This record gives sequence, structure tokens and C-alpha cells, in this order.
Amino acid sequence: MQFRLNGGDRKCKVSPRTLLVDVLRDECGTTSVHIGCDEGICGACTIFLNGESVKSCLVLAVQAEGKDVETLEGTGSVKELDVVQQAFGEEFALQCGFCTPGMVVSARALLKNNPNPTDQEIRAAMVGNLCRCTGYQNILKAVKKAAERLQSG
Amino acid sequence: MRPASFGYQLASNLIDASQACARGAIPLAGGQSLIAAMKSRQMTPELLVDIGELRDLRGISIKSERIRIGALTRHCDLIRSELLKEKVPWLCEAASLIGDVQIRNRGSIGGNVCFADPRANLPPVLISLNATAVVGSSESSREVPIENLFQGFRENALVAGEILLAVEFDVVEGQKGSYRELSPQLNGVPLVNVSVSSGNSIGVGVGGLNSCPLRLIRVEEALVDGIGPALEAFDGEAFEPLEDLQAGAKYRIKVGRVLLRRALEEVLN
Ligand SMILES: Cc1cc2nc3c(=O)[nH]c(=O)nc-3n(C[C@H](O)[C@H](O)[C@H](O)COP(=O)(O)OP(=O)(O)OC[C@H]3O[C@@H](n4cnc5c(N)ncnc54)[C@H](O)[C@@H]3O)c2cc1C
Ligand code: FES
Ligand code: FES
Repeated sequence: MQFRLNGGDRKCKVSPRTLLVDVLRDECGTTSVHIGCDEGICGACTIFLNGESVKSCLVLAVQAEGKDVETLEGTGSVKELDVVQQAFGEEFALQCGFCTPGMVVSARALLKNNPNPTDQEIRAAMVGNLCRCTGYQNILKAVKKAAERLQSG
Repeated sequence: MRPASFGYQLASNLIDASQACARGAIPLAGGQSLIAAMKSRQMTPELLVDIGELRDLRGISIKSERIRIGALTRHCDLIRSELLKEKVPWLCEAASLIGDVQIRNRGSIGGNVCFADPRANLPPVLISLNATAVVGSSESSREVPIENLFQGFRENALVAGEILLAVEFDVVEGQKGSYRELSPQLNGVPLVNVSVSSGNSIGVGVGGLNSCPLRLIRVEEALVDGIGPALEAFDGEAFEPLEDLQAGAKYRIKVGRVLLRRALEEVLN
């Protein structure tokens, strides 16, 4: 199969039963994509597929043929965090950090379509991402902060 | 777990897809139910035919007050549709309560209907709207009242080679409707759901009260005498809900009655 990953072309040999999440982690080394529940519930495996957030544990690799895949490795890095990552850090929106990559993708997906979301809209947009540590309040604050910064340019 | 091995074919047109299905292939739409069922090995198909790229099966249109929704139209498309928001906002509401953003970005109305899960969000609404399923194969096509598509727990009435193409329903000036559900988890399937739609006649659809979604014909008929008699008709039904750790049968029926009363009051008062 062939697809674009974070802007570059990728070719992988997969069998039909291979899940996209496994290709990303095991073949491509984009290990920001986590496996939590493995059932489509927790959102730790959330990525962008053709610009939309999806759970990569519920996508077959062959379904990504010819498509655009984006993971966290495509935007921020440890040295240079992007706006959303920076806000998560400042607001203590993570403890163990396991859920964070998925949270950041979902937050970005929200802010792309709705640059100035209400608390209610943020909560609704993050329903598919579970966190076992933070209690969500700081995640809410972080998304708000990122929204404000993005808006003020 | 990972799915058991299977063959995969990408359909480039409907005839392709239908012929593969006639040979026993299972259609793959958004995969949000199918891939999950294959991972848990509840389903072990030998061959999948991916219908995800059949653009003709996607889209929402209206012609002489009849709305047509292509089978591959995703939940996120239903929610964003200005036409649906104007004509049948309770269908949009039911779609907005499916799973979460990520699931709604991939899950389709066709998959929601064809999976025939008793607790799916959209079947009760489509039943209450008296919707028709447009079903086609490489040879012919036919139209079926949507409730006849549901045969049993996760069993649909499609025969080999058939694919759901679209759902259609009439919209009427001044039509009202309601969708109600009780869900133990924000992003999970409801225990029970109910939809009521007015129109040329009042339709009542329920989910979670039997092995598949149901039209409540006796409740619909009793409505000419008012909400009280309709609830009595509900009490006379022999429901056989699923029972699991979340809730027993009695509780689900009780909840169904409350949701029905609220939906009827919203639409009729
Ligand atoms: C975490 C999670 C939460 C969920 N929450 C909800 C919820 O709250 N409410 C709800 O209703 N659902 C829920 N779902 C289920 C799922 O998202 C939906 O039912 C979705 O609509 C399935 O559509 P799909 O396109 O992904 O179908 P698929 O998974 O691709 O297919 C489902 C079934 O339908 C068949 N099929 C699909 N399209 C056609 C067609 N055109 N013709 C013939 N057969 C077809 C397939 O062969 C398969 O058997 C949830 C799923 C997950 C993973
Ligand atoms: S690992 Fe994909 S949703 Fe939990
Ligand atoms: S920070 Fe630990 S799961 Fe969210």
C-alpha cells in the first residue's frame, strides 16, 4: 500500500487484516499513536486521515491507500512544541501522558473547524478521548488557552 | 485482538461490489462496527468488499418533498446538512449522539442500518419517518419499508448480492419529531431509544426493546385516542429486550415507556 504520512510518501507491505495503527507504530515508527483500549473507545490512537480525526485502531491499513495520514510527529517536536502541545504543558493537562497525543489531535480537529469554542463545545469534541489521570478540567483549560493564542495570532 | 485473515477487494463500481457480495463477500463501509466485530472475532468473514470509494452512494438530496440519503453518507455529514437541520432536526440529533467525533467521521447511515444492532441510533428515527430502504444488486433494485430490513439481532434482510443504496422518506410542511435515548455512557450505544415523527401519519420507532429495532404499530393506531391509550398499547406489547450487566429487561421497558411518553408529548402538544 501507498499513502502520505506527515507530508512524505510511504510504501508498506501489509495484509488485509493489518490495522492502520499497527502500520503507523511498527512500520513507520510514529509511536505517538498509542493503543489503549484497542476497541475504538479511548481515543489514544486518534490521527488525522485526509484531514479528519479518526481512531486508527478501527481503520484497516488498506483503507488508507492513497490517503493523507497525519500524526503528532508531523507538527510539534519535543524541542519545538506546537501551540496546542505548549498549552497542554502549561496547564498541566497531562500526568502520565498516555492519552495526550490523541487529545492533542482531537483538540486540533476542533480548533480547525471552530476557532472559538465554548466549554460545552470543547467537552463535546473530546468525548471520544478518555484520560485516566487528569480529571479533564486542565485539558479543558489547555484547549481554551490554545484557542485564545491561535486567535490572537 | 486482530481480525482473523480475510481477503480484500476494493470495489470501483456498484456492479463489482454486488458481484463480490453474490460470491459471499461482506461489504465494508466505514468499518466502525464491522472492524470492531472482526477484532473481537464475533465476525470472521472470508472476503470483504470495500464500498467506501463508491461516491454515488454518498450525499443528501431532495426531490418533490422526498429526501434521499445515500448509504455511505456519514454521521458527520448528517449533522452538518442544512437541509436535514431544517426539515428533520431530530434525525440530526440522533446522529449527533452516535459515539464521538472520530466515530462519526467514519460511520455511515448505511452501516448503522445494515448492522441491525437493536440499539443503533438511526433506525428508530427512520422507522418513525416511514422511510424506505433502496436496495440494489447488479441485476435489479427494490424498495423495502425500513423496518422490514431488521430480521433479528444484528441480522438484516439483504440477500446475497444486495447492497443498501440509500434511504428515502417524505417530508411534510410543519412536520415535527422527537428522538430520545438513555445512554449509560456518553460515547456508547443507548440502552433504549425512541423516535416519534408526525407527518401524514404519526410514526413510532423504538430500539433496545427487542432483538432488533421495531415499529410500534399498535401504539401508532391507539394515538387517534390520545397519549394515554397509546401508552396502554405500549404496556400490552410483548417486548424481549437484551439483558446484560447494564440493565435488565424490566428496567429497559420502563425506561422505554418514559421516553415514549416524553417524545409523544413533545410532538403532539
Ligand atoms: C466506540 C463506538 C461507539 C459507538 N456508538 C454508537 C452509538 O452511540 N450509536 C450507534 O448507533 N452506533 C454506535 N456505534 C456503531 C457504529 O459507529 C455505527 O453503527 C456506524 O454507523 C457503522 O457504520 P459503518 O459505515 O462504520 O459500517 P461498517 O462497520 O462498515 O458496516 C456495518 C455492517 O453493515 C454492513 N453494511 C454497511 N454498509 C452497507 C451497505 N451499503 N449495504 C449493505 N451492507 C452494508 C456491513 O457489511 C457490516 O455488516 C459505535 C461504535 C463504536 C466503535
Ligand atoms: S486504542 Fe483506538 S480508541 Fe482506544
Ligand atoms: S494523562 Fe494519563 S491518561 Fe491522560
